Amino acid sequence: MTDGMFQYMRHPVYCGFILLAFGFAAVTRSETRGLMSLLLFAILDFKSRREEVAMEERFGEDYAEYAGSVHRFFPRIY
Amino acid sequence: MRRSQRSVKCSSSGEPLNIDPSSNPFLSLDKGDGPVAPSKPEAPGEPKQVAGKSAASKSADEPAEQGKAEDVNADAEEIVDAEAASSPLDQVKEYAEEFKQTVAMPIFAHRLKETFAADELLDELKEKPHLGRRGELILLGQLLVSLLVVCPPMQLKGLLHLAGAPPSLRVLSAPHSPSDAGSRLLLTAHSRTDVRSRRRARYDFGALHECVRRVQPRTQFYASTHAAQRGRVRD
Repeated sequence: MTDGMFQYMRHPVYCGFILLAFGFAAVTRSETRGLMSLLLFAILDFKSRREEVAMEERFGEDYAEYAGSVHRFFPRIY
Repeated sequence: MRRSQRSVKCSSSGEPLNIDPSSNPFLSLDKGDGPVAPSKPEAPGEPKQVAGKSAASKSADEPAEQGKAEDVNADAEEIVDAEAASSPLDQVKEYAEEFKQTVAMPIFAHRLKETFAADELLDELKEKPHLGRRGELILLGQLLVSLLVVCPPMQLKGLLHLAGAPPSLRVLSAPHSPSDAGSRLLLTAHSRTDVRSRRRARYDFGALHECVRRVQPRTQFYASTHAAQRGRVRD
């Protein structure tokens, strides 16, 4: 599945989680929530890396090509 | 009325058309054999014998076919009579019951048993050799941190104080001066998005009075200083 939101990022759901957490921290001006959002980003990054290994084992070269052309969470950033 | 006996006329002019029924397959439909392919030119010696044979066999088969057709008609009439004798509602009920027993029940029983493959999923989860190696801990951590984002246990200032942060960072956790207490309370309440706390802050005259009381001495001090300076200038 490489169309829709997946043509801009490899993990759009995780990206949504991260943006939601940081946005909530910003709106409430809570430093603790900001720290927890960073922790959530780290966890989701680790989790997505593990998933990508499994995806590459399953789909092989196609997924490697897709991963090389599309960023993980944020388009053109990360 | 047989189609071969009908007079075929041209639709535009109304004149009769000379069409040979044997050459047109669609005009021989009511013979019962369907569209017939145009007959091939026959060999000179052969046609009479074959035609004679086919005519003889046709005449012999006709009574048997008629008998079969009568039997079929009789069976059909019996079925129609039996259906007319029973109520249509009973037939629907019987059909529904049969459908339920033969088609619906097996499908629904399978779906109820295997909704989301719950049994298989539980069996996989209970496999001890793989337990904890498929990302369960990551998922739990993600859920826990998501919960902490929604409901943080304490403010970061408190965390820094507990962690023994260096003095430069302890500014965050240091208590505010008494003169700032009232204004900070008001600002904190106003910065919240909660409507109830905004109303409470608006009508919290105690906090407002505290703020004024703390600020007033400074104001008086600055005013007296300013007046003294003005007096000096006048002098």
